[in-house]
Amino acid sequence: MSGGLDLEQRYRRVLRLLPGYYRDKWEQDMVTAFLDSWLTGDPYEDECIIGYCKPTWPEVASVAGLAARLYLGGAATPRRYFAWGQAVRNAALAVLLMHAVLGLEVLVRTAWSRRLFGLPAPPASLLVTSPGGVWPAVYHVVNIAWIVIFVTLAVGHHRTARALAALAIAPGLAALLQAQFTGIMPAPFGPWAWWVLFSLALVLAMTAFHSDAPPSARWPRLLALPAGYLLVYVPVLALLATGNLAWLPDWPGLCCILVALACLAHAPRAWSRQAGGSGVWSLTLTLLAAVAGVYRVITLSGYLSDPHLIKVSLAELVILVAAAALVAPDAARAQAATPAPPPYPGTIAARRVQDMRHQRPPRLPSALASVLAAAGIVLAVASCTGHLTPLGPGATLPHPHHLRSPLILEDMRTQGLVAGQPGGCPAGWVALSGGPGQPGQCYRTTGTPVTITSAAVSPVVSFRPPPPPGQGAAPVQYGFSITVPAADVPALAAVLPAGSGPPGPPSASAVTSATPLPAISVAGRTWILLGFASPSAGGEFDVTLASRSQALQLQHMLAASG
Amino acid sequence: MAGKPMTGQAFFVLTALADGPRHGYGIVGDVAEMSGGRVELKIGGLYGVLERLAVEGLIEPDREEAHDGRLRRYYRLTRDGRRALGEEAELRAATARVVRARLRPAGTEAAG
Repeated sequence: MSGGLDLEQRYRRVLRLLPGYYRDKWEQDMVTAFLDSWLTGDPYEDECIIGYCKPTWPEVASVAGLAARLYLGGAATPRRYFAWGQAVRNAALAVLLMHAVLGLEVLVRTAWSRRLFGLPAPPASLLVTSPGGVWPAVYHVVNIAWIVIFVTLAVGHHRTARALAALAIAPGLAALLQAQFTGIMPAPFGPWAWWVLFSLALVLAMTAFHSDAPPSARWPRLLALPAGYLLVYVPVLALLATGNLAWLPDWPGLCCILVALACLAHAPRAWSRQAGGSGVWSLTLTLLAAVAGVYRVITLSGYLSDPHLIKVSLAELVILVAAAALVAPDAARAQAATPAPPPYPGTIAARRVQDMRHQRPPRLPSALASVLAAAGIVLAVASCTGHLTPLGPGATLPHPHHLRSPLILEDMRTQGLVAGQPGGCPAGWVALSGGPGQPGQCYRTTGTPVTITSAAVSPVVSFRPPPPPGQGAAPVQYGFSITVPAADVPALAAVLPAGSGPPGPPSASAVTSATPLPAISVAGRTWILLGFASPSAGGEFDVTLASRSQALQLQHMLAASG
Repeated sequence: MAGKPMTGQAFFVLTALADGPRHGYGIVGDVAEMSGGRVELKIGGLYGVLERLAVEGLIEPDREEAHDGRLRRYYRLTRDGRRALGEEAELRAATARVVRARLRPAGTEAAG
């Protein structure tokens, strides 16, 4: 008998996934049903089954699904689970709203850059270019898809919204796994990876929108999208257009501030004894504060070289914690004080008194979702395709805009691993694992890094550098241009003088012992550049990377962070 | 507000109980047989449906019987459950009649 348990005990162990109140009522009956599905009546065979068989994965999955539905309670569940269910549904909707507002921002700026609908030309700082390459185009479409997902969920098509959200996070997950398995991402969980995992958590949280979830008003949810855009992004655009970038927090900071403001706005209701049912919103805000706080903490690693940004980030964190503390006591009371959940929506018993007409769902929200979806797809495809002339002339390279995560340029020295040294590197050097089949390297930074908070990037291009004399064709390299404000050029030139990086793409074989190389860090991830051309007076310089995926990832992170 | 339509699983479970009380796994087997194997209830899903139907007052425990040392609990339809099942069956039959009429080739009705 494996593990000393028999089949009944194994089923009871699986059923521990279910809430206690439910187990008290149904566990014995469920165990009997599970065993009935196995046993044959033959004593010898049944003894073997009891001793050696295990619950199947589909059975475990069915119990896990039931547990999720009960813990994230809907109609006719205990108040405690109903409060958690409502809070998770509200929090998931809020995070989805954030994704949708970001998508709307991409959509608006794309339409504006292409001067659709007779719009006047936008300020140069708000121009966006067409995404270059397949992956940037995919991410561009995904950004816009979140609008459709939010609207689909808001109008009540929960299952469709869950499926679309799962599709939307697939490219990010695939890129994350590829980066992990190919060694492109040395740190197992950098901020970018956390962002993808947060999205995965969001899709899982969307299971709270199950069939027993109480229906809610559609129009307030739908109106939250334009309202969120107007309240959050229009001020951001105004700051971008007027050049007051110093007032803009980065994205995690903005999340912290928004959640803190929501907590402050809700606090009077949370502290009022007359306000019934405030606990669910307090619980929702506490959940959101936890998510925003974790996001803020893990993105601090990108600012380790900038004490000012660290202080600003910590101040945002303190504000968030203080605001969340105002509603946390009410959130703790929510589990008992939440009003009783409604009965099952439109119970069958209630339905018998109604006529037997087929009720058609209201058409307007669905039609709105379809129109938004169609508009999103058309604009996404149009903005990804530089050949659709009816949409107006393609935008030129934009001027630098504020980056959510600053770009840190630094000079590095690399050399191969040294035998006999602890970790393979001399003191003061850090070991960096190589890709599959590639030897690791030691590296250390030299000089003072320079932090760039505004930049614009071009699409990724590939090229084959001229071969060294007497050698065959050099491998293809990938790169793109970065434009920084003219004021940053002297600092760049100081940290990366023309002599430190080859004035043009070097051959990969030139990267040998103690080679000086520039490196770019964004949001805690570092890319060592193969080549770096000195910035022009206009602030434009080219960077070259060894692989297409590295170039696309860096370009995407910079483009997406604008 | 219009009531939610009865789910397919709930309809099959109520139908399985229409001709007499059954225990949990008995319902699973009867639903599979009724649907020609198209509907395979998982135990987790079955007890989600049973709890919901019990809360709605459409089914109730009937009795418990010992079988090979284990207690099997049987469920039966309540009066409300029987009425709800009848109404759902009428609704589905009416829908099926409409579907058949629309699928009938043009001219068949006049000829027939």
